[in-house]
Amino acid sequence: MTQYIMRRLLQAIPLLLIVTVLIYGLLKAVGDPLAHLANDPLVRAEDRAILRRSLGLDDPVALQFLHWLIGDDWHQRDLDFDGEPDTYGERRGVLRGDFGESFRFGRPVTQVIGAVLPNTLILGVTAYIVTVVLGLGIGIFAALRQYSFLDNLITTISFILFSMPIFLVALLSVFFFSVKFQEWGLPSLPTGGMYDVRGDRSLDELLVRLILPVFSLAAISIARYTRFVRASMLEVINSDYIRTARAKGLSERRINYVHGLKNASLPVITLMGLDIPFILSGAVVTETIFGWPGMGKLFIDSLTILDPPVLIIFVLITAVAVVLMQLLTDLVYAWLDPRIHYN
Amino acid sequence: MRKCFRFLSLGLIAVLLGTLAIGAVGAQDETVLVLGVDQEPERLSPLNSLVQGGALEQFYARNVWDWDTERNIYPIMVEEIPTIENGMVTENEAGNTVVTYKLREGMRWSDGEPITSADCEFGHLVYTDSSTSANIGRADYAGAVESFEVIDDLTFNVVYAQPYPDYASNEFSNARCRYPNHILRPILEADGSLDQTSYFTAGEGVVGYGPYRLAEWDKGQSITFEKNEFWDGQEPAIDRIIIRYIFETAQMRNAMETSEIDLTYLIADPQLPEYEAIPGVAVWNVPAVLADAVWVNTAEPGHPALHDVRVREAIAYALDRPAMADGIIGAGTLVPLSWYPPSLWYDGHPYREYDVEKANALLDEAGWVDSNGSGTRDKDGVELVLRFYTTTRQDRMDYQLLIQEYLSAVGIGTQPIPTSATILFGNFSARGFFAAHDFDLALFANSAKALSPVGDPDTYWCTAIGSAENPDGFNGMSWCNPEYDELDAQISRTIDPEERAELVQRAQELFYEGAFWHGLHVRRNNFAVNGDRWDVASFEDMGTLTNNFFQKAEFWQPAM
Amino acid sequence: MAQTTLSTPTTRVPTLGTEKRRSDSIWRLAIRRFFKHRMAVFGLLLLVSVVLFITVGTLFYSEAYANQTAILKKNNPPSAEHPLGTDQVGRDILARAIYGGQISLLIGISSVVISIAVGSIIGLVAGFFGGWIDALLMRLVEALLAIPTLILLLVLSSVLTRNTATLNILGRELSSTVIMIVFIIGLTTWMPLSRIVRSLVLTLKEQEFILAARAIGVKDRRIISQHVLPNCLAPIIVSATLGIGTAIITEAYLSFLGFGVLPPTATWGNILSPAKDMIGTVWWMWMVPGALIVATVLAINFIGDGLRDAFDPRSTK
Repeated sequence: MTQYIMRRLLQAIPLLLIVTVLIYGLLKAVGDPLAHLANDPLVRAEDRAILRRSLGLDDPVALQFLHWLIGDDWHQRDLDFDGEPDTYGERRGVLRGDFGESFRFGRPVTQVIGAVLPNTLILGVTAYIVTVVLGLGIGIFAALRQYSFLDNLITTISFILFSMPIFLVALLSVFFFSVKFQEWGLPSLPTGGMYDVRGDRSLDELLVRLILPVFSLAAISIARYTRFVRASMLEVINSDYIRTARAKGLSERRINYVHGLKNASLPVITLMGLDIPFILSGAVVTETIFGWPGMGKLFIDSLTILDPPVLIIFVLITAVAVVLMQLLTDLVYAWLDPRIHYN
Repeated sequence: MRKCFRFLSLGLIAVLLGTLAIGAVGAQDETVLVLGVDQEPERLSPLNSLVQGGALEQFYARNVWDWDTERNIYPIMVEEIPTIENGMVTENEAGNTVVTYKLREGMRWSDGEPITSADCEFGHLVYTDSSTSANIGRADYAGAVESFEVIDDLTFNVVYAQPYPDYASNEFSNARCRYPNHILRPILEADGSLDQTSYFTAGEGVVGYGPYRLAEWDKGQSITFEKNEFWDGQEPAIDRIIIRYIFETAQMRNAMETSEIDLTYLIADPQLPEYEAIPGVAVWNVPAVLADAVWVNTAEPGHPALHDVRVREAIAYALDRPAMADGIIGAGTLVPLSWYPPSLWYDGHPYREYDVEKANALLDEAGWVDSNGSGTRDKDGVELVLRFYTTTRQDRMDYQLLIQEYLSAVGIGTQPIPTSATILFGNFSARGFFAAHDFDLALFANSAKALSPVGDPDTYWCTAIGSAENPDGFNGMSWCNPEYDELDAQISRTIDPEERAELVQRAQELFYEGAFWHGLHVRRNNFAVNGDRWDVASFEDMGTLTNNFFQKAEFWQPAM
Repeated sequence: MAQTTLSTPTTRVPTLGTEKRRSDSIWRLAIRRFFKHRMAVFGLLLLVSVVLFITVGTLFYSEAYANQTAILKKNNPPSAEHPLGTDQVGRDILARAIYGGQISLLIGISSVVISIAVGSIIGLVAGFFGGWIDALLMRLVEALLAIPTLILLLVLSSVLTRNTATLNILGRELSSTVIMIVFIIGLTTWMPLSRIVRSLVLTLKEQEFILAARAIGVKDRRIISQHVLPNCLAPIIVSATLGIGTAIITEAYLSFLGFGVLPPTATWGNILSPAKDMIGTVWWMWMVPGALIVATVLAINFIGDGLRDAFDPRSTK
């Protein structure tokens, strides 16, 4: 087992390298990191040229990648444009623990990401737990009572929410629960933000402000879990060995929850495992709409005013999380289904 | 499975720790105003180049002088505005301009240190030496200013390298005393540059001279300004001004309706009816210095038809620009006659009125006719279909659609392509559509100088045409007229107002004849304030330059 | 157990000619089951009405009319002239909803076809052959899954907008971004399915009926098509139906982020996107495309659900 884990982790190294090379190449096509300065009459072309060179944007792409990897403190650039290289770079490279500096904020990327990651975890983990708990619960319930009135009702509601674009769910929920509820004199929810800027920054206030974003995130994904759990459960419940178990006289409860659930959980665990790493990458639309300063908002900002150092570490973090979660998923597989062997 | 639980419980712990980190701060019996802002500055400093960051500076860092809503100049940090009449603007032996600044006595930074000439001298150093910071708008300061002479603690001279008529109106002339020397010089000496320090980005202790000072900057959420006890001007009626970031257009309006914010600005024009519909909210605007325009590529590799000035003119005649501006932006929107600010438009400034017949005649004359019945004009086997770029702003995409229809009425086909700003404005080596000349028509805004008739050498001069050798040149339309460049240089050093006005008129004529810039609308800065809680009249005095809106924040009053 | 499972898959996928009589009854059975599924029938009726709306509607409005702006009549509420009001540049929303629906459905279906084809093939091949093929394919899937879909979507969009043209397809002027978005959605959504299919194949491979088939020397291709694929059908159908809905929503999402289908072509997504800032006032602008998106996605999902139950005899009690 330990050997297997070690091997998988070693296999991840080329994977991460491929991912970074891929992203590095793709980001070159997204645009110019200094584009937002081009249209500003106060910023002179000379200053843009110096900035461009000192950021290393004038180097060939392959060299830029090498610098990102191992640093550029051995490489001289001509910062005063006199034709002779004069200044060494200051980066030490990812392999030496230097994750780079954001072009936009002029701060280390680790700081930039570190500042928003907790916010994303607060929102993402809460939404994930709500989704999984409700999704599993409703899905199992719907499977055990196939075609009952409640099954149909649950299916309809989860499908309607699933059928809406998330920005519409989010904006409509704000429109009704914040704006209209206040107009009608009902207790209303705040439109966004993590706390009340006028003063109240308590935990209670945070929980209140979590309601709408968590609702938006969960609303559109619960249906995915519900449908998947229901389909997998039905598949198993109606299979022959459950019939055999039933014939053997095992209690209905034991059949459904032990045998049924255990076997139905394989595809569901794949889905759950795939979702977890992307908690880290945040929810772009939800975070933007609710003014929640998390990873998703950072990501879309770093794309809008192109900030490659942040984007690359962002992708790398997600990639590492994906690798780890996939390993975990596979281990859980082996535990749940003894027929799968790893060697 | 156990690992799975462990992960989940770790997540829960993270949630709890994260929430504990946000301490409870209570405040009672204070007058607090919440300002909704949709874009967060990356640093809080006079080095900032984002419009929004610049606007927030007015709370904590005022200029030496400024311009009010009617664009009248008034002194802030100096005793009086230097003029030729009061003897503070003189000529030296070389005939170059020397300006004397006399700072008021008793001014202090928000940390209590006195403000002296040394602070302004530090500003001069930053503006002249590129190595102090790369993240700064310097305009042409280094080229225009020769030296800085400290006379005494409160008096100094700025010696220009030429006769310099814009000594008061240039962008940097009034922003020169915003760098606290006692804080920034040690940083510069230690780091070698101001780009590494966390002073501007950490959100603590940014020191300035303004009615407020920074109390807290919670990234992505809010900035809190509190009263500055060392401010010697009008005492503000509002104890704290809180900036709240709201990134979504619809949410800004929602927050206004639920009174979560009191004031917001830079509202997009199509949104105005949304705000007007909220009971109790007052909406008004002041003209901005930005103008949206259609830029035409005049050379290779742009469409060959556009090399002909008659085709470029025909495009302008084919567009009913006032109708489009009224429809998309709002009734009464000003259509710019040229890139130059409205105050410089001379009597009889030419304008290409909507005239389909004239457009057709010009196109026929240029040899572009629909010879194959395809619905678009063609010549030598080339169809007159133009690639038309813009950014993904909704009002610009709407403009694209209308322009497409107007142009198709005269037989010009267009492919509207909204794209991201990072691609459209990328430099030559990044293959940015504009700088790399890889477009036929483009729709975007550039800011005019509100107070000075000097052009923008980085955009309109021949030397600014982007190329592999000059990748950061922003003359994407490749318009090159050496006479214009020479005139522009002359304008920047002509003192005599009449002589100058003549040169400016000639420059504008050349600009107009080039027919590469067809103005669509002058932007407006739209504001909305909650009239139930605030005295609307006290807010209407907003500045009209790029980012001096909040120059009268200390006069804002709660409702009676 | 071995016997029943061995016989089920072969009877579930009718092969042309040889088993015609038997397959007829299977289809008839499936159809009967489908029509017993009340929500599936409701979904079918709903989808038929949407399809009628976007086809019959073209008799009343031309596409040129749908793209015709009239800035003086912008944001007009529903009236006799414009039954569902006008948008921010005065275009008729009813006409745009009709033509936009055709494109939205086209995008939904075509992108799912691409996604399902790629996903199932890769999942089957990886799971069935194992070894280095599996390792290689799964590393590829992992690499693609490790990059957030949005970054792929946006990067692809920004690269492809460099060559945007208006195409003339079957006499209609369409923005080439339609095809671009079909591929972008299709090629960024197949990975989860390939993993699900692979994991099912891994489980199935160890089951007796496959081992038996192998033991008697049945060829790989036949085992896949006759035994493995049919057993993966349920998750593929679930995935495909949810996928069409997701694709229609993704198109709206891309429009929201400014990377959607470009003018002149209308889609429900690009009608909806400018409306998001005017929820309270110009309600007809989001309600019409919003309701159509919900109705269509809902209908497709109900149908998929019904099909799944109908094709899989084991899922009915």
